[in-house]
Amino acid sequence: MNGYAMARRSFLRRVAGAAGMAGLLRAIERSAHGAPPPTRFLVIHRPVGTVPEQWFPTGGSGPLTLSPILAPFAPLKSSLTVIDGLDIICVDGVAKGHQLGMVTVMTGRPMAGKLGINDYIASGPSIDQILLEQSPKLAGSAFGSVSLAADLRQDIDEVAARVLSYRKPPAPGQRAPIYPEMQPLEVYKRLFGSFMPGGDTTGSQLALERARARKQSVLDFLRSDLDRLGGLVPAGERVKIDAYGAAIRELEKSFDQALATGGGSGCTKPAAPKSFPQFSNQSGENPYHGEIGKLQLGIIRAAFACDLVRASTFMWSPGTNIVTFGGLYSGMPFNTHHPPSHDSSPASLARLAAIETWYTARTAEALAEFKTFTESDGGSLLDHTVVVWLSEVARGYDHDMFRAPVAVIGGARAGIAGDRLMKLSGRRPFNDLWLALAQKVYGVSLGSLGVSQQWSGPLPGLVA
Amino acid sequence: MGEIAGSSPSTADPDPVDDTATPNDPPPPAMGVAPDGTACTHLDPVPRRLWRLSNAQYGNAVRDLLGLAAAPQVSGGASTPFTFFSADSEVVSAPLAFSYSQVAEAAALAVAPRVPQLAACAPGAGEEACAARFVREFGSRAFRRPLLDAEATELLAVYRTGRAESFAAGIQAVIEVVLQAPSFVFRSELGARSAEGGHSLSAHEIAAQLSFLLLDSIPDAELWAAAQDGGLLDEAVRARQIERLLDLPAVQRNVDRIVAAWFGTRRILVAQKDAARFPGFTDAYRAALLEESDLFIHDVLWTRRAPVHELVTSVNTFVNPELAQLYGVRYPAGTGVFRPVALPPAERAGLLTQASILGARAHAADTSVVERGLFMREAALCLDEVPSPPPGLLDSPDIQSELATLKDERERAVFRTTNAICSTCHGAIDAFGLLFEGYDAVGRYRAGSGQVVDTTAVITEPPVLAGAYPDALALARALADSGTFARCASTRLLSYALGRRITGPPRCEVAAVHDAATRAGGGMAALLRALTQVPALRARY
Repeated sequence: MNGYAMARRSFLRRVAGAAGMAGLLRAIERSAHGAPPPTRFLVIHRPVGTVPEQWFPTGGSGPLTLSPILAPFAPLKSSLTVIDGLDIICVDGVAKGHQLGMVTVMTGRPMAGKLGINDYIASGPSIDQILLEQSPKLAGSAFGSVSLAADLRQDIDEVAARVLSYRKPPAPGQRAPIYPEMQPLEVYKRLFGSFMPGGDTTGSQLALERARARKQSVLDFLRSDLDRLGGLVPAGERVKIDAYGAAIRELEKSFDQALATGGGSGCTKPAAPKSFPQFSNQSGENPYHGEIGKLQLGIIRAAFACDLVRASTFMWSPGTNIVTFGGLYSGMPFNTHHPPSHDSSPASLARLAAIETWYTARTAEALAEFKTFTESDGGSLLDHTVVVWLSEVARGYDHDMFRAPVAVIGGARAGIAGDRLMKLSGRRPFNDLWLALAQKVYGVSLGSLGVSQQWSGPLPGLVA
Repeated sequence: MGEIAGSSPSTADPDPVDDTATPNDPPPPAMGVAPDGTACTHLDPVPRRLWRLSNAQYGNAVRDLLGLAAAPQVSGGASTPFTFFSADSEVVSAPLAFSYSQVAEAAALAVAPRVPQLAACAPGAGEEACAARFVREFGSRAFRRPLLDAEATELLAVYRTGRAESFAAGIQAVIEVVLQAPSFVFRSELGARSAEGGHSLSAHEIAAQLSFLLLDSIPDAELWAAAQDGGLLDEAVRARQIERLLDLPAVQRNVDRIVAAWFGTRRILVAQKDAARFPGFTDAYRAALLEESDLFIHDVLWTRRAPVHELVTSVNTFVNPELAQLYGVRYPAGTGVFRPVALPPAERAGLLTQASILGARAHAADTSVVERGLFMREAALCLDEVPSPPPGLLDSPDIQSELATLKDERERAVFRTTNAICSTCHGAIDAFGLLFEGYDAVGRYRAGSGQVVDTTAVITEPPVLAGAYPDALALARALADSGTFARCASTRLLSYALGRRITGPPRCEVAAVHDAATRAGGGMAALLRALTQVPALRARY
């Protein structure tokens, strides 16, 4: 390994760069001033809806009796609020399905057209980006938000089913999807800085300065080059220039990123995850699905804890996925999740319920880790995170959009009590959940979302 | 202005105008006359644009610039293995920018031992002069255009930053920066103002257009030379370059890839089959189906240089033992795993009846008339898309209860095409799919095992093909004989070259390419020769 590589590794290990240090300092300052940690926002999506008879708790509003599919959430019951009565209101007058459902749930608006048969074009930003942009509580972290996924394979190439987050459209009819990142190691390197295995290096101060100068010269040229291009392109191309500029700003933070290990606010750089084979075009078994999901959610946990990110979306897989489960129980009719799901026979419903229970269990395990991180005010990371557990359709086998199987987990320090079933007396549009969180937790004056049938008002009783 | 001030070509615009003020709305396409005398519409004008390299193109470009053994893999961005072309609307996101920086850094480190060859310094030449030369040569090859003096100056400063450590580190620093720069990552199609109004691609931009179309990478040495001396602005020079390129194995492989993407052969990799009905549908089996299609495509296009319509009619394919069994032919003697066979002409017709296609366009346990119908519309006929079903229709109890009583795909198709609501769309889909009912969910020929299947259908579009057909083979012959498939091939490849879907009215450029290609024998080389000379390829507004 040449001197440059050694010096660079040394630099990234030893020097807590601007972004990382600022995050730690903020945390330390906050606790010194008695200020509470921020309330993070996390949407966790599992695909293909649910089997309602096995998902919705029985009984009326009040303390929760976990249903069979929700049983794995038992250790989190005190942080769990299940909502029964929200409808996903798709207004585009065409077939409802995974693609339309995904975009409708996350943006809350009518579509701006579509490409091909079902690739619906989001006409607005997604709720996480709305909150990130407008809430002072979510401002100030190094990277703002991160969107991750465990598996993105689909049987048709469509954006709408494999994206949760969208930025504001740059122009009418043009969507700005934030494609989820799939490789935990790549995400890790981008947010936490490249991992240097092995023992301490002995780079000199000179070598450290050289490495810093190298990275700075990359950024300088990139910006200069981008400026020149910006002066040459027609107005319609500016969106690409602006997006690249934002990407370079984040790249700078990735370059700076190195965290002091241990001590201080208790924020610890996690261990680097391993690399997974790129599956993007393979069929067959996916033995890593749970492991990748766990690592991704672990990165989100660490990124929240170290205040690198305050909003996040995580997708287990698209509604149109081809994930296989290797037989969760003896006699399971098909291993793949989505393709054979459009069947309401008892055997099919049992299969769908088993898969959803698996997703519930993996998610519960990951969120249990959010409870073990203690923040400066003594509450857990889970107490300071509003997690929304949702799917892109309500009922799996026929894409019915009524009675969405949605739950809120965490957020105790933001006024969200747990161990509750909220059984709504009348049906309400799904966006009412977003309005309640926006107004009452994040201080965003979002009075409406979507067209009139898509909202009625902030869901009462969710936030104290 | 695509040509940077200070460089040679005479198309550089002498009067500076505000080239950033392209009209927001595209000018309407002009009307024209096709070679056969019918009216046609020109292609929708393409705006001056930046077109981000696809992840594959980025990797190939890095490989070719540095002479690496393999293309590095970039992660992030939108494209999937099924994407036909990478859209020009794609931007560089933060994860993608980070991935570029990782790849750039790794590539620069990887070539450290070869710096003396890459930055070939003549003995006795001053080191900084050598570095300056490297910056100009490497930078301009990477950016696919001459460098501005300002860029050369800045990159020399980058060199000096690394030079503080060593000459090699200085060169590596330049490589690392260049491989993640916007000018590397975006193809520029900004052009120079042309006499007719609008803009026209520069010689360098034409070189990049040809190389990214045919090589899926940066211009090779000869194409670069023809860009540097402005030769590519001349049709004859372009023609010579295209001739040369079409003989390169790398180009032929790339065109094979484009055709495979157009037909969506890779979808077989994600097709799910009922394990009880179709045991043995393993990953290895799927890969074999894909390999058959790849070998078939290459054989039609380049080994035999057949007219492109043989893609949907030829029975000459390549099988391993399992495929031989599927197709009901004897696995021939010979060498290698995949061996050439001629399938029974009464049973098969090109890609349309290959296992990779039929298996992907089917359900887990049964055929799918709708899937196969949509495939034919899209891949073989270039017909407009049919919208998806309206809300509530699929769930309506009447429809559900009716469908439950029907026993096979034929009965379901009859229902869909006679029901008042369903037929508005299915009238345009199902007939095509019914013609393939002779092949089961994994592509076996049903009559081969004694099954009697009704494979007849009446199709109504395009008008030139309207009529009754006994089976898919008859339609395949008609597709070939009428030139419909060849015209569709021209459409698909022109879309790919421009990175734009071509829909709507008959297009003059498609007609011109199709006419020229047909006159020259109808092969892929003829098609590409004609396509690459289409003026619209080089015009931007």
